[in-house]
Formats: sequence, structure tokens, C-alpha cells
Amino acid sequence: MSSYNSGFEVEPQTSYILGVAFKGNYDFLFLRAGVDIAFPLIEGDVIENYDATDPVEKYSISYTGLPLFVGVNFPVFDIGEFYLGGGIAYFLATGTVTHGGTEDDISASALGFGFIAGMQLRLTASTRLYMEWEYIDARSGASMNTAAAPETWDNFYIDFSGHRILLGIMYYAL
Amino acid sequence: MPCKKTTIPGALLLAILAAAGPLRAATSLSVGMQAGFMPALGGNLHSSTHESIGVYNGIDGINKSLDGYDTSTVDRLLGAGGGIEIRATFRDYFFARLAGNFTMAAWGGAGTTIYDTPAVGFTPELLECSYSMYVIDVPLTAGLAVPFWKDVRIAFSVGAAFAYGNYKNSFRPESGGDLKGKFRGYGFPLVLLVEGDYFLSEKLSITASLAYYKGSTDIRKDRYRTDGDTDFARIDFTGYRFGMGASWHFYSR
Repeated sequence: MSSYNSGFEVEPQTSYILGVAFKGNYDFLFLRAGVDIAFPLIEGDVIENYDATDPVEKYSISYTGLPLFVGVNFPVFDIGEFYLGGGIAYFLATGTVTHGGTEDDISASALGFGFIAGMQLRLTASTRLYMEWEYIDARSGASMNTAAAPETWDNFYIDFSGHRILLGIMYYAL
Repeated sequence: MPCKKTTIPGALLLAILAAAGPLRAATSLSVGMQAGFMPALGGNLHSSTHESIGVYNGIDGINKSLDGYDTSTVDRLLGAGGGIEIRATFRDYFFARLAGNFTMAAWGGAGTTIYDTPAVGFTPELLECSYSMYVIDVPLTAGLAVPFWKDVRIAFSVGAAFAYGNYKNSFRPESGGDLKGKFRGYGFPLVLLVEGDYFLSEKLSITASLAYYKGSTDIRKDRYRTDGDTDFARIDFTGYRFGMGASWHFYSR
């Protein structure tokens, strides 16, 4: 939300993510998909608002993300691999926004683009520990009204853009 | 202004000569091609005309919707492009790269929103918006490369690019008129780059790269003279770029 209004001093929301990942390797190429569900760990807070026409106070957003990346694997002997790819992600969000003393529900969706950089360490013949860095740029359209009267249009959007760090165990079926 | 026209090719020539001199000491040389994309090309594309219609964060704040008005979301620009690269390694672990890239808007940047004409109360009016941009850049970076036998090489490098940008916007209210902005300029953004090579053979590798650019032009004046509106904007080169391609390693010793 730091991009939303230059008249806001914002403590942005921090989320934790739970999900499942699917990765297929074909020679040097990989395909990485997944389902990520994000929940607020620290809710977003507008600490100072210098824009009286848009009295947003705080917000709390949960979302489901469906990323799909394609890229190149860089195997390192039999220790594991690095990989680097680009792709798309679709987001579906719900949450609440408090503005002018009232709390309203919001829902929004967005399509985004980004990249993934990861590494895997071989634990056993079929399991690997992995750590990934994802960056996805995605922003919804105007989804609810927070502007002060007389403006009744929807102006508030959800910006999903940001960095995501994922840690997990991957089981290779094949 | 004539000074600037001669400075650009002069700086390019100097950069090429500076890179070409030490090539005699290189232990390997390669030439490659890449294609890729850049999310949020041009950042929020803000300009002063946005402020005259009550928008203070460019393409991000342009979207408004209201029942009874046929609006569509204006998405951030997705840039797509490609380029060529020349890379040299020295003593196996030291790395330099000179590239040339072209990136243009391939998706997003068009739609219909509403804006207010407050002089007569809250009277929203449809506004057709259009944004487009292209960038030509020449990054020169140097850093470290880590080879994993002859199978894989991963390199991390930093440097700067000469980047030329051309940005256009257009706002067309339902009641008539067309506010256009056209900007061009150049800058020298900072470049961070990580690039991997997967060697299919001794001479041929598949590459993937991730670059981060940080920088913009100074404030540029709108070059449209006939629309009755003078706009001002920066051309922002900041953002991530992902690319994939192949490299031919034509020299090694």
C-alpha cells in the first residue's frame, strides 16, 4: 500500500504464506506451479494520513496466489541445484479496510508477472530442502470506495507486488 | 543541446573501447542472445497532467469505477524485449559483460476510467487512457563467476547502463479533447545482475538472467505542442528484468 497514496505514512502489512509447490524438471528446463495462501501476520496501518479526502486507517488482506514459472535449472553435482525462472501469477484477495471510522469488506483479483530464484539441497534420493525468492508485480483495479464524499466511486485497490521468501521440502515422485 | 548529441555516441565509444582493451587478457569469450520481460515497465508513469485530473500516483491511481459507467482497468505496463550480450571471463572467476537490449510495452497500459470535474460538483466523466513506452539500454557490468566443473556457471555482477527511454501517454475525456504527453531522454541506471549458464556442450550454453535496474532520467518536458497541455515526467528505468537465451563460447584458453 505504500504506492497507493503519497500522502500516507504506512506500516505495510506483512503476511505469512502456507502452500504447496509443484516442480517438474525436463533436462535444463523446469516448470514450477503452486498454490499459496497468505494470511496477515502484521496488519497494515496508516500511521499518518495527510490526505483528508481519503481517510484510510488500516487494512487486513488475505489472498490466494496461483503462480506459474518457467526457467532454467543449474544442477550442482549431486548436491542439489540452483534455478531461475520467470512467469505469471493470479491472485484472489479478501479482507477488510477501515476508513473514516467504518470497516468495510473488500475483494479483488489481479494478474501479475515476476520471477523466481531458488536452490534445492538433496536430502535423500527423492526429497530435497528448498528455499525460494519470488518477486511478483500485480495490482488490482479499483475495488472499493474510501474517498470522502461527495466522491462515491471505487478508488481503493490492492497491490500484491512484493518479495516472497519460501522454505519447504519437496518430494520428487519421478 | 548539441553537446548532448555528441556526448551519447562519445560515451558509447568510450565504453566499448574500455571493454575491448582488456579482452586480450580474457580466458574465455562468449556472445549470446536473450529474450525476456520486465514487470511494471516505467514504474508508475506519473506525470504532471495526472495531477490536473486528481491523480497523484500515475497509472496506479488512475483507476476509478462507478455503477453506470463502463470502465475497464488500466494495468501497469509489462515490457517484453530481447538483446545481445558479449561476456568475458578472466582467470576463470572474474567476469565482465556488455549487452544491448530493447524493451517495449507488450501488455497493459490501456483502459477507461472516470475523473471528476469539481467546478460543477461531483460530475464524473469517462476518460480513455493510454500509456506506451520503449527502452533501449546498454549495460556494462563486472563481477565474479563461479564455475561448477564444465556443466554450470553462475555469475554475479554490478555496473551501470546507458538507457534511452521513450514514453507516451494520452487522456481522452468523453466530452472531447485529447491530452497527450510524449517524453524522451536518457539516464545511467545502476545495474545488478545474476546470470547462469547451463552448458549443453563446450561451446554452447543456455542462459537465464535476472537484472535489477535503479535509475531514471531527469524531469522531461512534453514534446507535444498542439494539444494545449504541457506535461512533465521522469522516465523511470527502475525494475526487475528476467531473460532466457543461449550463448556461443567462441574463444577459450
